[in-house]
Amino acid sequence: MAERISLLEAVEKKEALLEPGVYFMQGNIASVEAALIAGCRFYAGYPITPSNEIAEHMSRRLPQVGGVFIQFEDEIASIMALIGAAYGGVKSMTATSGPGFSLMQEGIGCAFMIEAPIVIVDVQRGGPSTGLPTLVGQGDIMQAKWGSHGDYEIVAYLPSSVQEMFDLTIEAFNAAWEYRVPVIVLTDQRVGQMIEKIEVPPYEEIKIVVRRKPEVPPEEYLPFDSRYLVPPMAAAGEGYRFHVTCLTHDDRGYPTTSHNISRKLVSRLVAKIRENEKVIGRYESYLADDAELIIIAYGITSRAARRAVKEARREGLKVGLFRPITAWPFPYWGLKEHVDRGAELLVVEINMGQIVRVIREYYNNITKIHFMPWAPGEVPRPSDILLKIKEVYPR
Amino acid sequence: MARSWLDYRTEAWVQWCPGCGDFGILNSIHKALAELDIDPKRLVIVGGIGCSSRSVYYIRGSNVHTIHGRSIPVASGIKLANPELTVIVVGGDGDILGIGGGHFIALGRRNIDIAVLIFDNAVYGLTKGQAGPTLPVWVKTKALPYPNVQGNINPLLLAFASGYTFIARGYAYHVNQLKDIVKAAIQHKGSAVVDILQPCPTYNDYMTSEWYEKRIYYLKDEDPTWDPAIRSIDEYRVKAPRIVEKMLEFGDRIPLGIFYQDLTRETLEDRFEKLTPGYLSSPPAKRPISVDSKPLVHPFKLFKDKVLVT
Amino acid sequence: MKIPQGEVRLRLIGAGGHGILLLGNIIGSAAAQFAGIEATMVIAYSPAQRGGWSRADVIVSREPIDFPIFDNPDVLVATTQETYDLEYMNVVSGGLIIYEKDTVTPKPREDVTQLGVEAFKTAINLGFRMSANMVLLGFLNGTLGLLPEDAMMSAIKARVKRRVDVNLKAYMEGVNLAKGVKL
Repeated sequence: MAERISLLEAVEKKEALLEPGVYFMQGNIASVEAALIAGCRFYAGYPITPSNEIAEHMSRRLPQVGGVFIQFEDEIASIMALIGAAYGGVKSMTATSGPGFSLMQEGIGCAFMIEAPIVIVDVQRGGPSTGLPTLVGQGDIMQAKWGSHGDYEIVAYLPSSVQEMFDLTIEAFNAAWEYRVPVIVLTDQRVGQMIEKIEVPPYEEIKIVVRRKPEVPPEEYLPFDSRYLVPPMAAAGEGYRFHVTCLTHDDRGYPTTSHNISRKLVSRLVAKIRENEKVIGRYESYLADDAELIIIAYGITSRAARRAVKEARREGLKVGLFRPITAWPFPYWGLKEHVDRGAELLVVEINMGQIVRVIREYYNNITKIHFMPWAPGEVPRPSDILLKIKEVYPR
Repeated sequence: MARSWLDYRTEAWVQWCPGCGDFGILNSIHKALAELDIDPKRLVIVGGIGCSSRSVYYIRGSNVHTIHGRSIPVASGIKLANPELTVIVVGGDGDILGIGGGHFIALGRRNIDIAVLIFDNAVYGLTKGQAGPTLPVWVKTKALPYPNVQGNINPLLLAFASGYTFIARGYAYHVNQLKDIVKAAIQHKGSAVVDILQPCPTYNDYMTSEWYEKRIYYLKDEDPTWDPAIRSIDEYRVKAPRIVEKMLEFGDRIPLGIFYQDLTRETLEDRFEKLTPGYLSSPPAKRPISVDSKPLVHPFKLFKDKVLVT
Repeated sequence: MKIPQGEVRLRLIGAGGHGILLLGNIIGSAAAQFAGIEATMVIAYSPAQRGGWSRADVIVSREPIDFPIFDNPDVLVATTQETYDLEYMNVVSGGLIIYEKDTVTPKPREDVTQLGVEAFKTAINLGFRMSANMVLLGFLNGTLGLLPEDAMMSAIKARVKRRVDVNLKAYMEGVNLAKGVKL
């Protein structure tokens, strides 16, 4: 009974969320407000540029909705505390940038193995290493997928506007709690720190995924019940006793070295994402239908590319844009029809070649794949992309 | 009906070497929990990696076995999400003071109500006997080709400097005395640490039970008036030098018992309650966040124009 | 200058403390929240930690804005000589430069319109020196007719934290100073 607080009580407690309407708001701030609307009530983090606005705003806002904000001693502790909060039954989030994201990698693997739903916002800056703390980069794409050891699958969103910082943060929470996985909002310094018009939709239009709780009596509860693709999750203190572990484990959560169980576990864990890749994976096409050259760009780069596409069209070049909205799972299927009818591809990203490798994985030797690497620190201008378009445009 | 220590066992097979000090520690934890009659459904044991961290499988609770060195942050996350839970961290000296040393320090300054039980055998047993952070310099255990060239941490002084409000030391084979110390640590409101000296018969052939038993004694036995409780700043000023002196004593004589218990400092949970009234009665774990898959809302009109940050 | 039909790109730059970011926020907020059109803003700071300049690049547009970053503004507002010198050559041909008359000596550029405003003096006369940015805003909007007056006024009320009345008055002073200015 104590589990339920009436709506009225919640109102009295000022469970205050940003009300629907139009705002002129920073991307990082929009991500925070979205997280709160999605039900995030725990934030642990460590200061790092250019993600600090997220922590700052969380530190002010979480107490207003009855949540906990805590600054930890490092990013390792932060991500582990999120896992703890998730097993306490609370939606949790952290934000970081390149170096901190590197420190979190072991924890991301742990969250995947232990099936703890958590959300990480990575505001990418210029690398490698300490690199360019205040300037843009898109160099964490591969780290997001392969940064932790062993076999795992990740969900990572690529917002390209403040509106998407809002929408995709909510979606990230929904995916995390739908599939019991760590989910990354893989934004960049430019999108995170730019200020733009956004519209917060009426709440009736916002869908929130909550934890699927076990329905069996406590004696029968299995934290990793393999009869489900995504097992129901009990939180500590709810009356269910359990062991969960980052070791390879059986359905009861006890460690095992059985190859058979290892095979079943790892297969199920990756299947959660692989079997749902077309549900999770998303993309947007712009003027792609008749394009002879399709630019592939994401985040802030996609916005320069979009302008370049318009200018190329003005000059009579049939150029289109393919913008992955999820980096992982990568929406490779969205390109197929264009490649099949002979379109060539041009990848533009602020790194020395990351998403282009994924494109090659699917379309190498099927069509020509051009690449425009761009060093971190600045966004390629539409004119730079236009130049490259003219250089590679198929004649 | 009160629970017996048997109610805290699990069906898991206990995988430790014969004669391991972990058995005694596990037994004293079971007994402490039984005497405190803690509901296993509200109990959380968090462990890292190492022989001792496997205790999470052998105690009935909602337990999380995490990665190496990170048990304290995970425990902090659970406890702050739901402060009604009893949260205990188990792990070795390598897990908690070596790889997890930064987290150990940070827990002290936060003073979250968590009991940290260090199974201190001065070696990395699970990986076959490398030197742990509490192995003294120039000691050569049998797995080391040469004597240890690194010095050792003093866990009690580290805890004291970090701000732990309950600091004690026990001995693995003294199950009953250890049970009382563990009980006090769990009951203490705030971050508590018990450094539990524990022979590793397999890999530490230097700090053996004979080695320990020649040296250990209880603070209370030496001085029946020993009272570790600090109730005021004045009492702290009077007692602190003697407490530190006892913490420093580790050689021919090794004191055991409760060294320090600060009753004056508020927990992090209390501080959150001050910051956000209602935190303790309806913590994040108990707050509804949605109704019929829609956000649970009270649009905060006053806030509307203040969220915009330049 | 001719008001561009699509996007209007404004670069606001001045010393830290001149209220540049607030200025950008008010323009963006007036456009997005109160005039119902699109707006973006990208902020930059000088490399120096303190005492440097801050810059707000604002785009307002009736159409969705593709790319929020630009190198060449249609309109430059500069409040110091240093920032004026840094940016005046970047303004597009046919563009507009508004500068603070007290502190900036304009340099020759035949192909842009340059207008000086005594924003600081006007603000001091109003008894609140910090409202100089509102004078500039009023002058800018009065000259360009960028956004409806009521949208600007609403944005000022929403964004300004202290002495809203004086700020509104400063804005109107700026609008008045723009009367009779021909582009």
